[in-house]
Amino acid sequence: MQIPIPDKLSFVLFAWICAFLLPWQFNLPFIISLAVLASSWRPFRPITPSARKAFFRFLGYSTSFGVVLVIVNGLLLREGSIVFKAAIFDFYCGGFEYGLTVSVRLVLLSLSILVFFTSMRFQDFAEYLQSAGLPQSLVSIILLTLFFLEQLPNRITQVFTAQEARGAPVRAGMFARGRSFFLVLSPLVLSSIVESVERGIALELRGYYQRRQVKSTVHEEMANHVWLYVFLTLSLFVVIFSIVHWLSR
Amino acid sequence: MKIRDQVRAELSGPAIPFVAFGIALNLTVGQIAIALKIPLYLDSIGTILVAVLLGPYAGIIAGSFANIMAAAFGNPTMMFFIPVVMVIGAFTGFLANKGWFKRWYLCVLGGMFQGVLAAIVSAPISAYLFGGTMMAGTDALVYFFRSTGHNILTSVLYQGLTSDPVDKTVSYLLVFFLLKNLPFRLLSKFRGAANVVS
Repeated sequence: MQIPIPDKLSFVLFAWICAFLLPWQFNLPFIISLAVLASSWRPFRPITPSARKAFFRFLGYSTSFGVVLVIVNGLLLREGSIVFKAAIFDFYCGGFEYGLTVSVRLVLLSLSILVFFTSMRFQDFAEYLQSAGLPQSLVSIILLTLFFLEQLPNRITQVFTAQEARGAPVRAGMFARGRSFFLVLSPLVLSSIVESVERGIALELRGYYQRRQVKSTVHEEMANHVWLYVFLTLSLFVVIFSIVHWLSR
Repeated sequence: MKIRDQVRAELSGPAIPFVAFGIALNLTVGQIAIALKIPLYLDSIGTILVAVLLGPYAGIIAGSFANIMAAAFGNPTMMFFIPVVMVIGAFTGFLANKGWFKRWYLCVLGGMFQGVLAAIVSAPISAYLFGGTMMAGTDALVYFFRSTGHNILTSVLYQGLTSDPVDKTVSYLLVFFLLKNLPFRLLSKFRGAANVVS
């Protein structure tokens, strides 16, 4: 089963609404379920090995971020009662609460974005944007960036090795290494400008820059977007719940 | 000129491949910085390069697309800093159009202004969404300011004002010297060539 991109976007919206409106006690189980879902359910699972790697690396980052934020705020934000003392340090309840709120909110916001992107090819997202009416030039920029991203690391390594062979001070002091940065960047930019000019001429010759009206070609049956309605309804429910909760306080 | 026409003018000729290169450079320049062990981010060099040679709107597009793609490739927190890179692209393009990339000392001054502006825009994001913790070496500065009694927003702002102007000034100078070393024959293919050559 595959979930269409608009439905996934509505899921991101739902996660963001939860992150901003619900307390961390609700959002923490949400994050855990999302992490489990993303590692087991096909529509949310990272599709490439590098995406999977990025996903698990982010889980590690989130955990350490949460721990650091809770400890630092427990120590620095002196609100509420003292939860415990460690040597000369006092940890406060208000600080812990604040650290948990901020870290859980950030992790939920970020994780929803990551799940959205890692569960599909970026080319598919670009194609969807084009079908939704994004100008051709912007879609071309995205697709060309993907091309450059494949090429650039190898080119950087090549230039770096060549400059090192020519005696560039890549392992000297800070100032000399700064100069080496320039020595690596300079040929890289020069070759890329030459390539950009050549590609620009090729695009122009093919009539790329003639004015065209881009129309949205998204004409899918709305019945295909079951998840879109589910997530939008849930989002609405969370908003209403938060307003009622706020009024009753 | 309308914004739409301005964007169209900035994205003509070799601009589309060059913006794509700028985005890719933003995402990979860290590789060089790590290899050379340089303690600076320099992750907006591509945006600055594009903004100088093409204009502010192209800079905004390069910066925001770079952050969206960084989010897609495993760093989703970059998504929240899109307003910051948009300001960097717009302000750099504005300065370049005013001729600030023709003299090195104007670049230094511009880099400092840019750093202050970036710090002001990024402070509320870092404070509210990240609680002042970015999991980077600069966190130590934030904790120092917080331990002296400042609130999170002020501490993050002070930290930004301490480190961002240095990073942006170095980036501006790098771009200035890069463009100075390029042959005019190549630069003239871009509509912003007059921004660099005096």
